[in-house]
Amino acid sequence: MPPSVRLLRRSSYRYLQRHRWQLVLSVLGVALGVAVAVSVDLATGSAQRAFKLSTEAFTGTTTHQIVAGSGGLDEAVYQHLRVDLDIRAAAPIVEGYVALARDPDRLLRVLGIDPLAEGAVRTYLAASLVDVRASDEATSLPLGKLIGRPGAIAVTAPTAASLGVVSGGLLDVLIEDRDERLSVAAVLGSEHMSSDGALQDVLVTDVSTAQELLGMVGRLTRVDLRLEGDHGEADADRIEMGLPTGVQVVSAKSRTAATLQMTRAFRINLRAMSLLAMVCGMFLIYNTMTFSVVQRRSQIGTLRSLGVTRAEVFRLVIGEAVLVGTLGTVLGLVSGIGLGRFLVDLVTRTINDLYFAVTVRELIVSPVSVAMGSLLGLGTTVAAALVPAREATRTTPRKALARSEIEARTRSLSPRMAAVAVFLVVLGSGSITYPSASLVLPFAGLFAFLVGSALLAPLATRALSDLLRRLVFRRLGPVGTLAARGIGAELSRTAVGVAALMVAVSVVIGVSVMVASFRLTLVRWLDYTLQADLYVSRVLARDPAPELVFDELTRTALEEHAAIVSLGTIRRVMLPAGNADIALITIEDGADDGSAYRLREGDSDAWQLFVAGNILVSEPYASRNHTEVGDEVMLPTDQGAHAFRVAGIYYSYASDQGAVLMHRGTYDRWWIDRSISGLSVVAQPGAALDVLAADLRAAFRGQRVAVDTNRQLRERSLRIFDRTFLITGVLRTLVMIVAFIGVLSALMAIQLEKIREYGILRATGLTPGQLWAMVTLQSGLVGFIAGFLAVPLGLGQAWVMIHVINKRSFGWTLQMHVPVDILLQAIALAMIAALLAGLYPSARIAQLSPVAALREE
Amino acid sequence: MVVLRDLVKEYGEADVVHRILDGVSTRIDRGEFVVVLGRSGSGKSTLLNLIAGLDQPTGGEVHVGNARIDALSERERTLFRRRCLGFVFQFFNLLPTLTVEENVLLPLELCGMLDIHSGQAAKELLADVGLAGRMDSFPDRLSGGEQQRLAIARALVHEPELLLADEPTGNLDIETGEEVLGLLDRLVRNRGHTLIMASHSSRIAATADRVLQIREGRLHEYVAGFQESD
Repeated sequence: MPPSVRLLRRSSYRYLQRHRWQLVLSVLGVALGVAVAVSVDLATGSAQRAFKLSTEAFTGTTTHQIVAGSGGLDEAVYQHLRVDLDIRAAAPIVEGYVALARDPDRLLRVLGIDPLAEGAVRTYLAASLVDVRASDEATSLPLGKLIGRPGAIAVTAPTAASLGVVSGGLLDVLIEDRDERLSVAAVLGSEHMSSDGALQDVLVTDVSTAQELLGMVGRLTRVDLRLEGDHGEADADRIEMGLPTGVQVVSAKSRTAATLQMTRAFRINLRAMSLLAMVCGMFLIYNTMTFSVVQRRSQIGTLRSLGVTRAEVFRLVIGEAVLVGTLGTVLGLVSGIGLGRFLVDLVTRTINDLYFAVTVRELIVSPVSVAMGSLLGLGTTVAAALVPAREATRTTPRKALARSEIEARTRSLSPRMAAVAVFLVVLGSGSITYPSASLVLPFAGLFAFLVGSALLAPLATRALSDLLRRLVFRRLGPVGTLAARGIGAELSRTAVGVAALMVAVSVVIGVSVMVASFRLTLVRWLDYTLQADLYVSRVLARDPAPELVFDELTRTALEEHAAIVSLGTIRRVMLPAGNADIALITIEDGADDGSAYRLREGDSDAWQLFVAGNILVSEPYASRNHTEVGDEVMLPTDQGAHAFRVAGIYYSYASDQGAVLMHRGTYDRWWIDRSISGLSVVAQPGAALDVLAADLRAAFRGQRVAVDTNRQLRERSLRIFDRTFLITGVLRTLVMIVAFIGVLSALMAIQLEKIREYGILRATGLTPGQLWAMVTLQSGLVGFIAGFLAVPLGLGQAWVMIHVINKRSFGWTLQMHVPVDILLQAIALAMIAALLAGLYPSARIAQLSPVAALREE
Repeated sequence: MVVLRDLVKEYGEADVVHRILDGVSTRIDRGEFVVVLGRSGSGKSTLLNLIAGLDQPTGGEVHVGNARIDALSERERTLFRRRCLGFVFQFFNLLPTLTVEENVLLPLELCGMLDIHSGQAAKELLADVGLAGRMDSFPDRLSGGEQQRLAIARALVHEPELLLADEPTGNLDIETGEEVLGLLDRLVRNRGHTLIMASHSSRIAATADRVLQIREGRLHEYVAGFQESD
């Protein structure tokens, strides 16, 4: 910076020092915006990286995997590989999840391996297993302690420490709802591992132990292969040709990528929400910088008269923005890391609920996230300051000295701003509704829509304040008239405050209405989907395809049960389809009328076609795979791949990955599997459900089933929903805090600047009480106008989130539901925020003597 | 030396055009103290703004020294003000966030003339205008007369070629106004600056070398018997 601006900088610094509340609020605004964006990024990034690191580290040198959907594959496949095909670089895996008995929320991965085969794909694990240092008996290797010892596990030293176990100790776990006691046979040293993440929260055990624990005797989850060199892919094809139907060879890397891809929409939505907080922060900065320029118009005019160039004035304003941005960014990064530690739990829980199991022990503070946060904080602040900085330099020195010019200019600019606003709103609407699968387009459109609406704020504020003055405030005497007139008369300042508050409150309305609509849609869906009275299930931790044996004897006994009207079965399996699996749900509805499934699209006789052998696909499936009615979906059946015709697309909110629905009769024709995953029971009216539940448990004796009532199942679903949206609620609260700071800053600045004017009013006879009433009325009115304008804007955002963003992200059709209480709360929120913001200035004004007020700068 | 040739300034308000200056021509020599008299709204401030390059004429030419001000770019006019001009306003226009001393040092700093002797120069000048003991005060702690004296010091500290004063006593009582005027006269004459002062009061005319009068947009040499507007 040239020496010529040293005094200017000092002047600038003293200005900020004199308006330290304004400075603190701006810094807080930036800090919160940065903190929210960075914390969300760090939390989702940590979960993603934890999964990727542990998967990749665990995968070792594995290049391919042999998989076969949810039921796994016959262990004979492995023998065929080793014996018939002479593939040496192959290792069998049996994998599943158990919960820690003392903390059932903590999932541990059971990894069943053949210790002797591990050297081919995971040298680090093989080396750890033969490392005698890891053993407490110098002669006994960890390897030997696992093989042939039921219930024996090995864990890494960090996992042992976190579980509080030592070699030779015991570990109590829950498998389904049964307690199991495992013995820690060895604690593995981490010297051979490139990353601790590879075996974090993993219980290593022998294949046979894992098969017994997880109920997979005779079956494997997959076989890991190392197929290297130029012939790798050719070898994979050769192996696949010799495999049974439904068993595939897939690339290990792309399978990990496909799993991560599942959370893409979830991550984008979270990031977009965090950016909304930043947008609110941006309005706050814009407000502060505009205000500081407006407040110093005459000072800037003096500087320009003294020969300060436009560029120097520009640099002065931008310099202040950089200071605010830097302070806010540093504070935001620090608090973002703190907030991230809290959010990572919520993100992990949602990913565990909806997508895949991942354990995130710590927040990974990536330099990219920190750089992104810094860029966002500083960039946004400077971008928000550009308009006021340019405004400061554009006015001629002569005009800069005239206060009335500012308001006149604001008033004359209002129609032009409205034109730009309409253009942005149209552009935003076009971008939102443009037919495309992109998520960036609607979010960009939403941003344009928000900015456009904010530009309409001056016009709307003037119109509304005029209307309210004529209709309401005039009746309150001169105090009311002065309060209402002040808003329209000082549009250059009030409109910015109104715009900032309006945008923030609209975000709160938009998100609240979206969540309420989603919840109501889910409740209605559960209403018609859950028609039975009791549900029997066998849910293994993290098993997407639980298996329940339902033999003819049991079936006949239940069908003849006096308290049972009808039975329905459900079988859920995961079919291998390249890197991702397809969820196949087969149903045998007692009523067989299809009333539990409502179609979004479909043939008129879709249900008949379905019973006859066609399939239905869920909305998310259709959306993800661009499937339409009449298309064919190729599924790997036990009799080879077969194309099934799609007779309809049905509404389903069970998963955003989508599913294929098939009638049990069709399934039985193509698959040999005769087990079920769950049973629905319609009871006789008035039947004692607890007695019936006991009978059902008895019928499945030996299989440890859970029997839930309709209400329990519904409550569980809604609990998961609420848990999923917990993070959204946290973000919404943070956006509101940013908004509150915004209005606090805007109104406080407006009122404090008017202290001299208030001094004149006091000097001409207004009592402190009247002045207090005027300031309070004015603040309340600003809040009301902002809240009132936020309602249509918020509803517009909710519409976009429901009908465009959700639809494109997850494929769900949601019914828009606008609870009036949300709208009233939002207006009340805006008014309370505004009134609170008016408290300090009112108190200060009431204490100030007219003489002192008149001396205020 | 200041030369004005056929200077015209019009302002538009809605569809109506107001011609404030209508072909003003004059020449003011170096070291001259000229008072421009005229009623409120007669165009005195507009004339000063045009000379200072704060505003652009609708027609005609403004020459200050060797520079033709109306032909300069906005940036050049700003740099011209910075180096060659001192301005004293009716409402002082001091920077409230700088101390008395800093307000005076600002023009030196803007001109790149700030050095180790500047502090002493500012001190002497402030002593000259009677503000020796107020170096560290902020402007809002000064009386009106003190503020205007500070404004004069600020306008003169970088030894500008031309000093413009727009109603410098208009915001002060008669006694203080005369004090300020005396100070301005003394300093300008001692230092040999050219001073153009706008005023609506003919009392000030007594101290000037030459008095011009604006009537109906035109500039006239002062005629004895001119009726004051106040």
